[in-house]
Amino acid sequence: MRVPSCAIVGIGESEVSRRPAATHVDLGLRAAIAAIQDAGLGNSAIDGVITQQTRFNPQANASPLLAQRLGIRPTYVNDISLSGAAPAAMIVNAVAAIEAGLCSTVLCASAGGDQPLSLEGRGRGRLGTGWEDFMNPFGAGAAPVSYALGAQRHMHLYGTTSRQFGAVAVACRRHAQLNPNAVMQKPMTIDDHQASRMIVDPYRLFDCCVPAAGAGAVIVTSAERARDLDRKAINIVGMGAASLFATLEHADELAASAARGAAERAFASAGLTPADIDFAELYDPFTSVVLVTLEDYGFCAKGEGGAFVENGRIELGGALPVNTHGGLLSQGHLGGITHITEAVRQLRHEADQRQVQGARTGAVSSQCAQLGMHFALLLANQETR
Amino acid sequence: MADNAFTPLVNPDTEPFWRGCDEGRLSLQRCTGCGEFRHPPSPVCHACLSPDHEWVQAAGRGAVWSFAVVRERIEGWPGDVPFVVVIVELKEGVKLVSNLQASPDTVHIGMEVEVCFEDGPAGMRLPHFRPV
Repeated sequence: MRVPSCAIVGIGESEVSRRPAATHVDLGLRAAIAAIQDAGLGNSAIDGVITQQTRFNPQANASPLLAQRLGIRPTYVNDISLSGAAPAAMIVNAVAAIEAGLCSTVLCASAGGDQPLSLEGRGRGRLGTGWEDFMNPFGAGAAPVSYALGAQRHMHLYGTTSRQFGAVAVACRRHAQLNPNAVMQKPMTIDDHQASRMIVDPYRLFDCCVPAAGAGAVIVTSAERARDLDRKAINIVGMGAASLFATLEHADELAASAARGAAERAFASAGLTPADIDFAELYDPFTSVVLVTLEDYGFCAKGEGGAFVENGRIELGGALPVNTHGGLLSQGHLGGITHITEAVRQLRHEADQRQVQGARTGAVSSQCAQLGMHFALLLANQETR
Repeated sequence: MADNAFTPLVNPDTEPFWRGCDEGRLSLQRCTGCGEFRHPPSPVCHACLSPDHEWVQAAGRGAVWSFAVVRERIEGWPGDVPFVVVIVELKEGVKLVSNLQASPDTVHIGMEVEVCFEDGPAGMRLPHFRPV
């Protein structure tokens, strides 16, 4: 028998009844807490949270939300959406995450329950009470609004200006113009940015990502297999994740994000520092998010993101090119997958006119929950040993 | 039943909050295990994991912790624009998302505010804030 790397140390169940005794959120929490207590642990010992999504009306960002409800700030989260296959799939995912060093003790939680029997009404595309009910009635549910609340904090705390946000927009547009697969090709100057209409203070039109349609995909294999494949394999040298909060009310601060914890873990796992990074493809639904991410990754001090992005520093030819494909801001909002494909192109030295000269190591960010949850990747080409 | 994006879904976990609003009371859950307040409503305490809680009438006072001025009818917002979204830090120490009834030119972080109740969708009342 194989020597096991992982073991199950706690289990929990809620009461089971024909008709639900409580909401699926409540039943799920009861089972989760029972499992934590059965393991003889408290919430501080749990550093991974994986949830089984309900099949119908899934809750967006279910695992960060469950973590928030339990007062857990995990270094790994995932939502498994495989219907009846999800339970064992959660365990497999937990083992993989533990073996990869992303976490040590994982809560795998299922708050299912057959949908029609639930006590919750059937809302627009979702079942349970998430964050939407306390945001949407106030017009705060839309992304430009919820993120603008964070941008305002950054301006208040650090004196960051709209022009500094504009430097991010201008850089992404300049890069998009070099990318035939980007939707925005018209030049943009900082004056164009400043003249664009205000959508949600402090976000102007050009502070916001553009809608687009498109897809991306990546193949990952073992280093050993990669050697056999005779391809320009790009190494995944660092990974890290952090989940601080899922709803705005639980954010200690919105001028900072889960990027800090995720990047610290990624750099530590890689044995690298921000000084080693040649370019960064950073999830950019709005310009201010790039400033916060740059600070939280340690490319500059907290609060200095505004000055950091000015004067071409994040443009091709600058010290740290950012979003060399145009980003969500100017290539289009495809969810962030092309931040990864672009990083690989850069490291393969196949980025044509937008090639970062001598690129050896790059950072990629993905995030959700209004900066509350973040995954960081560090990639390097074979020249980096 | 929620039939549009702006009507909150009321269920057993959140019903006391919305009933409080209908009756002109801002209600917060407080854990009777450790005394921690929480918002938005949740069946257990995030600090100590106890399910035991009570609903307390909040003082209704706080300060603007952040704000955003919405100038376009994003995602079909049915009300007037511009309007002000705020995160209020309540005296009880929890934050809450709401709308501010004040001119966008006057709002600032740190502004002292108090709760008021407005007619909302589907016959519900919503907690808003106004400057003190």
